[in-house]
Amino acid sequence: MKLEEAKTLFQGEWIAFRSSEENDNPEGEVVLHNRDRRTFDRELLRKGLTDIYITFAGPPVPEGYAVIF
Amino acid sequence: MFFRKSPLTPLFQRGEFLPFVKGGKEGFSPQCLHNYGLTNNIPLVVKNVKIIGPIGLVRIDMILDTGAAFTALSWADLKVLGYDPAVVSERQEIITANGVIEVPKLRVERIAVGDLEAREVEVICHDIPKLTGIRGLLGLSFLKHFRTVIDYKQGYFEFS
Repeated sequence: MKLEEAKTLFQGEWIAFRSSEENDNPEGEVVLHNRDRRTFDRELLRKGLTDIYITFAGPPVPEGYAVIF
Repeated sequence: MFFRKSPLTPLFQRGEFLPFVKGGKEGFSPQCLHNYGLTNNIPLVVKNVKIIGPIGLVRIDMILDTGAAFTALSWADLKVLGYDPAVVSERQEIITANGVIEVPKLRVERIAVGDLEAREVEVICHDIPKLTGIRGLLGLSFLKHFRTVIDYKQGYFEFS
C-alpha cells in the first residue's frame, strides 16, 4: 500500500507506516493505527515498533486553530 | 521523503494539505527550491524527521520552532527508541504557554532531516498537545548545526 493510500484509508488516525523506500509516497505497510494518540502510543510501546514512520492522517493543525507553543 | 540534490535542499513542507507549486529561483536548481504557497496561520511542519536511538529509529513529523531552545520529543517516541525519560537525572525547566514546568532532558544519538544529520542532540521530553497532528518540535538544539533560511516573502524554506 502506498503511504497516501494509507492516509486516505485511515483518515483522522495516527499511523505507523513501515517502508524500505524513501520518497514522497513510499510503498509499505501500516503496522499500527489508532484515532487516539494515547492509545496509539501505548500500543507502539507494547509492540516495541521501531524503524517506522509515524504520521497523522489529517491536517497537522485542526481547522480554525492557531498554534502557539 | 526528501532527496538531496544540491547543497541547498528543500526539506520543509508547510502544512500537509496545503496546495503547493514547485518552483525555482535564480541561483538555485529547480530541485533545490520549492515554493509552498505559504500562509501565516499554519506552522511549518518538517516531515519525516529521522530520530535514532540505542535500539532503533522512528520517523516523525515535527514543527520547526526557531523560538524553542530545545528540540522536543514525546515520551512514547523516546521510550520506543530505547530511552527512559523517567529515570533521566537531568531536568530542564521550560516556560510554556501554560506556565513553567520541569521536564527530562537527554541527548539522542542522531537526528536527521534528509541526509543532514546532527549527533548527540539535546532534547527535552515533552508531549505536544494531542489536538495537533504533530509529535515534536525541531528547536535550536538541532537547528544550530545547520543553515536555515525561512523566507515568507518569497515563500520558501531552505536547510543546508
